[in-house]
Amino acid sequence: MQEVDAFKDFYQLYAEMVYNLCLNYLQHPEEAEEATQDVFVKAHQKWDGFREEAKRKTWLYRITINQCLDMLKARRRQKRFGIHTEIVGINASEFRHPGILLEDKEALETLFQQINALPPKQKTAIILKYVEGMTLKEMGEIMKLSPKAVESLLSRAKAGLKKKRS
Amino acid sequence: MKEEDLAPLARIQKVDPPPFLYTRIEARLRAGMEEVVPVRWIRLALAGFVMLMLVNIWLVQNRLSYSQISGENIAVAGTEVELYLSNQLYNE
Repeated sequence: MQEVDAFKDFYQLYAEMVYNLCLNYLQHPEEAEEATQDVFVKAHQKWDGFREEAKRKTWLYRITINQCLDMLKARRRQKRFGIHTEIVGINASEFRHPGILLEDKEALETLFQQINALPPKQKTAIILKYVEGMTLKEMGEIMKLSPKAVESLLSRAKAGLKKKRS
Repeated sequence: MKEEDLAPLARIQKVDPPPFLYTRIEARLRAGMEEVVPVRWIRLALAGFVMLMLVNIWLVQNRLSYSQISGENIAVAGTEVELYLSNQLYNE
């Protein structure tokens, strides 16, 4: 019973963070919801390892990022084999982000198209830095990289985006 | 790419997760727990597998030593009755 309460507290503390990160990766509310469910189910399975309070957030970030990247990979695979999710009423490739203001929608849709075409690590670097507003040190902890490596990853990502823009 | 080109990303607002998300997660956890195979069963299956492997190893080893012995016996019997044991049938 105590464990159930602890997990509920844990969910209440981090649900917003996980859901919003999923939205930023997937840009689709239903998919973000599914990913959030998967993340918390995985967190529950590894609950014993989650005891250490200080590392919880970093760990949860990692699980969320991996889950979203897996879902994007699956989405690409489905596209390649021509399986359309529209059959069940969901078009996964459709851009829908409820956190985006109307005046930014067009600019951000284009920007996200370019970000989505980046390699997974570069995409993660851009999202963590510019959407989540993290420092290089925080990003390094999550991505298991040194701040210098994160910095170079970011500059490569920006160069990649510049190339896609021109 | 300039920093200002990425500025709209910082204007993305935080959204509340769907209201019944925790209930759905709970349901999935409950369903998952029901499907979990008891540890006792896993241990039993493992023990069975190990036993099977041991019996197999024992059988293979015994069969090998048996065939070595019977091979030697044939060679002795063959020389006694002047049988050629090679495939070369004629002295060339």
